This record gives sequence, structure tokens and C-alpha cells, in this order.
Amino acid sequence: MKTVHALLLALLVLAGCSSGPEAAPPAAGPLVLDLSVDHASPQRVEAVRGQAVELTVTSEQPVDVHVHGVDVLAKAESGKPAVLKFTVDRTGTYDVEAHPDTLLVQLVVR
Amino acid sequence: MTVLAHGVGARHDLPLPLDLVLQGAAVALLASFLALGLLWTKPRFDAAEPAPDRDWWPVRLLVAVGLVLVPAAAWPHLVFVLVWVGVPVLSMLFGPVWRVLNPLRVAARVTLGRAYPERLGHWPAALGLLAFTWVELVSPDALPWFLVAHAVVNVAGGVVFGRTWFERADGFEVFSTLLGRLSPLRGNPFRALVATPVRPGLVAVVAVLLGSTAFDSIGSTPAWERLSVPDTAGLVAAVALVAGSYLLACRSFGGQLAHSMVPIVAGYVVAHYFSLLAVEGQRGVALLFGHTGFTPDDTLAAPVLVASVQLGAVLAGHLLAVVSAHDRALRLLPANRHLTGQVPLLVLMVGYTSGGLALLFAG
Repeated sequence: MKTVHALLLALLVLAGCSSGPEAAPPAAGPLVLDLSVDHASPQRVEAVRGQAVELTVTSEQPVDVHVHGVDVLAKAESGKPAVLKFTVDRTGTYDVEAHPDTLLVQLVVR
Repeated sequence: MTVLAHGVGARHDLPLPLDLVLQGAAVALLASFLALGLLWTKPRFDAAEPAPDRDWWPVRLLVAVGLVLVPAAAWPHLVFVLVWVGVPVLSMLFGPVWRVLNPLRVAARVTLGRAYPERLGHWPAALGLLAFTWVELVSPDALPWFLVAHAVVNVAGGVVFGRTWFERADGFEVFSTLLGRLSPLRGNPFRALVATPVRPGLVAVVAVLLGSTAFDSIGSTPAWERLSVPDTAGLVAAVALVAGSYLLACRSFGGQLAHSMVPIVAGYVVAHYFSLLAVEGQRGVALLFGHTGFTPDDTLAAPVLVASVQLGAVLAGHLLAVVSAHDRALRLLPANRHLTGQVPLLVLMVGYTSGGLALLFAG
């Protein structure tokens, strides 16, 4: 069991090192994404904490587009895309959805 | 269909870094086979059922009265966070708390006292838990309907069969009692685990608990969305996969080793829901008191802390499970198969643990 304990300890130390608190580097440019509700093909997109995000969402039907965990909401309809501009100050995984439940993109903010 | 994270959540955790996942899986694999060689060779843990609590029905009455005062807006947080996550965590620490709190148990006081059919075992609990996880992960809007149905079924069961109904057929109580066996405050958890009565449906309960948590991760990935498979099918498939792999690896033992899966369930619950409980739990309490605009403090959801808790919980659960299964297998296996007979189960557990870590990376 000693070996096991030693291994576990080593692992915890490693865990501490490899994911230490990282200073958010100054965000490069804004993250610009064009998304479609009608042909949704959700992906995971990486962003940096504090980086500006600009989403343009097109839809044939009128829908509400919102970002789970961030207070932004916009309406899209035929010929009039929704534009959402925001920054995320907290790390985490955020779903961008068209109501009621079409996932458009998943933002992974580190 | 998009899975709304855990019924209430808004933001989810960052994916676990891949290097941690690989290191964790390696440790689990190594520790398991080391344990096989290094641990004791004679069974050591005798079954010891923890002493039952006193029957504090006034507490339940108080909870029942309190429920009437809960604001409508607080119900999702109350059920999906405080009861579904908070109660299991409290159970791991203090023992089976749901039997003390469950207001529906008052129904057992006016019972007809019929004998509960042995054949039913934990099957109603497994079905109830599957229904609840479906509501949580696929259709949170159905929560009011679920609660009404749950109350009707359990009051009826309690009136007909008395306390035995809640002990065996109420999913929440079965879940809480299983995890309560891990409480260090109620004697040696390994003795309490091995005392788990093997009833029909026990494996199903464990499979629902593990499978639903696994699907919670899978269902929130963009890759799952792109597949366009109905979430209900995914949930059922995940549960069936856990049940099938357990039955395959333990086919000679049946439910005799199901209790050793309980620490794995507990590890997943903590890993999965830690940040939800830490952050949304605060909002839940605020909502109970009618504060709708409350902003929870999210210090505890810091990525390093969450990743450490996730890895620590999954590995701790794995190690407890391996030790518990090892001890039980020594009793069940003939002496000449003590080592070889344990291998399928160890492989299964390493599979569950690596799979669980991989899901924390993916989802």
C-alpha cells in the first residue's frame, strides 16, 4: 500500500503543477464566429478569459439566441442575423443556444 | 436536443486536462493490480449493518410543512441541487439522511402493513431513479409532473407496505442509504458495504446511477449534438452499457459484488457535481428564502480546485471499490482462483474509472 500512497501523492503534486493558476494573457483579437441555426453543426471553440467574442447567427425562422451563463440574448430572423458581443470573465464551458434547444457552439474559456 | 446541464446549471466546468486523465487512469490501473498482489489473502471485513437511526417523524413533518412555504422559483434548485446532489453528499458523510428527512415517509405511519413482495426488490427504486435522471438530463420542464407522480406512488406504497416500501422501493432513499454506508462516522465503511443486502434490482440501481452520470457528460458534448440521436436513447444506452458490462464481468457472482460499485458511484457524484453544489447550492439556499437576484460566490469553482477534486474523488472511489471487491471476492472464490478470479472485476473497475475520467475530459 505504501507504493500506492507514494504514487497517489506524486500524482497530486503533478496535478498541482500541470494546471497551476495561469495569468490570463492579454486577449489577442476578438473571437469572431458565424453560426447558422438551420445548419447547426456544433463544435467546441477555445477562447481566453477576457477575450471579446462576436457571434453572428443566421436563421430562417425567428429565434432567440443566448449564451448559458452569460447574460446576453439576441433575436435572429430571416435576413436579419442576431449579433451578440460580449466578453467572458470567468473560465468554464458555455453553451450558445438557439431557443428552445439547438446547440450552436460551445465556448471553452480558459 | 440540448441537455440543460444538470437541470439548472448555466456554465459547466472546464474539461479535465488530458494529461491528468491519462495519469489518473495509469494510477488506477497500477494501484488495482498492485492491490491484488499486496492486499490481504484472507477475508477481513465481516458484515456489520450500521445501527438504524431513531424514527424521528417530527423532522419529516417539519420538512413537509416547510415545503409548502418554498417559493415556486426555488423548486428546480431545491430538487436538482440540494436534494439530488446535497443529500447524497451528506449521506456519504453522515449516513442515510434521506430516511430522516423524506416527508413522504410520514405515510408509513398509517400503513395497512402488507408484506412487500421479495421479488420486487429494488426494481421500483431503479425505475424511479431512471425516471428522475431522465427528467434531470433530458426534460427538466417535466419536474412538476415527476414530483407529483413520485409523491403519489410513494405515499401509496408507504400506506400499503409501510416502511419496507421506502427502504427498498424509493429510489432516493435507496441511493442515500447505499452512499450512507460509506460514512466514516457510522463504523467501518467496508463492513457496512459488505452488509448491503443483495436484492433483485440492486445491480440495476447501481447501473442507473453510474450510467446516468456518464450520459450527463456525453450528452453535453457538441459531438453528441451532431449525432442527432435522441437523448432518451443515449441515457438508456449508457445505463444498459454499465449493467451489461457489470453482468459480463461478474456473471458468476450476480449482485454479490454490486456493493463494491458504491464507492465508484460516490466518486462520480462528487466529481460531477462538486462545482454545481458549491455554486448553485448557494443560489438554491438564497432562492428558498426568496432572493431571486442572488449572485453566488464562485471561488470554489476555480479550475485547479475543480480538477483536483474531480481526480481525487474518482481515484479515491476507485481505490475503496477495489479494496471492497477484493475482500468480498476472497469469500466468494475458491482458494485456487483467488487471484485469477478477480481479474475480470478489476478490469471492469479500471474501465469504469478511466471511462469516467475520459468523460470528464470530453464533457
